[in-house]
Amino acid sequence: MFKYFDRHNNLIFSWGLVYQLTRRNIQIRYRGSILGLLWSLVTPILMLAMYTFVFGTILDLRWTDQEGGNPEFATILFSGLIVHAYFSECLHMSVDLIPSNRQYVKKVVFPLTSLTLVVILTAAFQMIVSTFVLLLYLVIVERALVWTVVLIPVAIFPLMLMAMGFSWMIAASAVYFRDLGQLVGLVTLALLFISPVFYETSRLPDVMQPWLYANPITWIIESVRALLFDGKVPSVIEYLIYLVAAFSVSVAGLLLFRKLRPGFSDVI
Amino acid sequence: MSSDSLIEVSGLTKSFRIYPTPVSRVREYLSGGRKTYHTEVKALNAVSFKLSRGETLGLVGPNGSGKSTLLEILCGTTRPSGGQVRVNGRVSALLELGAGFNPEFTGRENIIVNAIIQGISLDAIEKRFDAIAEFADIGEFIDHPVKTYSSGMYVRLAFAAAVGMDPDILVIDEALAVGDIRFQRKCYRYFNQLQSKGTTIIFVTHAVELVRSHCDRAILLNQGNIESSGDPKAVIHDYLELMFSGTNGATEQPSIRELTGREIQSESIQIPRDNCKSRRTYNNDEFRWGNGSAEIFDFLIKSGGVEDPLTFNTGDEVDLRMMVQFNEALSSLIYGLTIRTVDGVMVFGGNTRDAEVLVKDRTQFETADISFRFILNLLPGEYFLSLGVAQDSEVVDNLAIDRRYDLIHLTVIGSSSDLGFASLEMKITDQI
Repeated sequence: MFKYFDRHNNLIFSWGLVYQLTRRNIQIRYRGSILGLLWSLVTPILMLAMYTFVFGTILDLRWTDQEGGNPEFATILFSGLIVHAYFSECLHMSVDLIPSNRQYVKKVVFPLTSLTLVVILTAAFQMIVSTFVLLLYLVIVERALVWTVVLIPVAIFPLMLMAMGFSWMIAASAVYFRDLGQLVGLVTLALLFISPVFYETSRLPDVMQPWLYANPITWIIESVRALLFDGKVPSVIEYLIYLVAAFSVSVAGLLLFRKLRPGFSDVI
Repeated sequence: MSSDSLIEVSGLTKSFRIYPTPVSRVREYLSGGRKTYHTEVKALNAVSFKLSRGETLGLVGPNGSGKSTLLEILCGTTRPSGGQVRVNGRVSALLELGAGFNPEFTGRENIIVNAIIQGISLDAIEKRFDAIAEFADIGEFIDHPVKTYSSGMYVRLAFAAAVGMDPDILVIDEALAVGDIRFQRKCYRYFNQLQSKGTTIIFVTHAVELVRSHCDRAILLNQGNIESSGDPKAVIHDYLELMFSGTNGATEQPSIRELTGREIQSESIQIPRDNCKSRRTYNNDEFRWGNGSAEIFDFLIKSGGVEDPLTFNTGDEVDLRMMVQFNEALSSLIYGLTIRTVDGVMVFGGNTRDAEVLVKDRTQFETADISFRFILNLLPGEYFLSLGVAQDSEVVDNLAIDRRYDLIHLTVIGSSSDLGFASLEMKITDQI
């Protein structure tokens, strides 16, 4: 078990703790419901079924204007939504992270920085299940699975790093600025529409296209789609750039969190 | 430092910065010290003490005296502003209710998470878990979310978890008062076991009796300063002195004799001021009601040759005098007294009507001096004594004229370790 103590023998970080908390968090979400953990499986299946029916059968939407290519609008939309849902859930969970864990702020010496890790892992659980449902659909219905899907975890990793950075920033700032709760709701909605979830990047005017990449999920969504549907491996250079950016964001987040941490107990 | 002292605190100071709004804290930080928005409040002022292995320290003091802050610093949840704190060994804390429990988690999950925070490995937790669950004794609730617990169950689990971690230092902050008497006894009994194992215990309580019976040492904190420290008995005395001396200095206690001087006896309409408030055992939180046609304006307790004592011993002969001023002529009067526990359970009650004591009818502006004499056969603890004047009229039975509920705070001390309230002076012998 990986642990890290400071010089006062206070626990700073422990995998055991993160593991336990993440497990409980996921269980708590479905505790008391009849289907229990099955909900995390049922929800994406129903959603994918609805998208397929509405966008595929009723509206008969095509993703690209050109003939050929992957015609299935629903699966492409779904893949984008999985990424967005993950990122947005991380941000939402961060807003109330410290106040909802007040028992760990004042009464025990607790490695609060670990809580962010719990957030991104708890949210990752749903993402993994949803992706699994999507892969099953591709295998069973479309019979079109490409080998590059094994690289999806690699593509997702910098997103998690990015989410962790933002999570630290939001969690720490939201203690002082309660307005962040409202703001995050708007921002995540904007992230949804200013991203290639519903449309292709190329549909935008050329001047606007680079701006789309300011959205942290844009590049991830495109890479995931390339790996899922086209069997193409994204550019390694772009990947490294994103990785560096994500790493910088998470370091900045951690620093901000550490800076604001001493005041938590006075405010909460 | 000696190898024996587990805790060494010297010159410990803690001041809090109070900000008008949460945002101004960030503003001040961002301004890099050019602007200040805070006002400083000192919670602890140059506090120093040492604690050795196996010692038990009682911390007493009025609300806001810095007790909790001191404990938080010892546990590491709050950082001191100045001074040195050295803690050698693992601290297990029971700060307020909760002790770091997540309300959504079950008791079992909380114990596991708590143990990990304390740096105990999962294997070690599994081994100890049964013992902890048994001590908490909350049955199947151990697998229910903590938010469904009663406060009693909560504290049971918290205490069990705290001692179950096998700490070197156990810190308890008034939390135990929530548990029922049986569990409290169990905990305090367990203290002895911990002490013999060499665990150092620090606990905060308002129940001074517990300090006397469980602590080797006590510290009285007042406004962040150590007011007195050392022998628990002496410290308790100082504490009660501090709490009940009020604004009038304890030295200038007018006795009833002086107060019932000529001027009151005279026909002047002057109503004597309420002297009850200057008595050392006066309870600020009394509840007073009645129609006001007469007023209880003073009382004086004599016990063991002492006037207006702060503490009483089990078995003391008590002479309680109640002074009543009549604003109207009244007949069919009833004078009464009740003693209640902190929880409001009546321990004793009696009045002149039921005891068929002859009482005089009174004219306007007259004062009465009623004497209650009794033996204080109460076990050590905190009690509240109420005094009352009532009247039986044709229409209303026992009409309240002036009732002062919980007027007097009785702190009974003694060596008895019996349970309950009544001192029956039981002797148990093995006859065969």
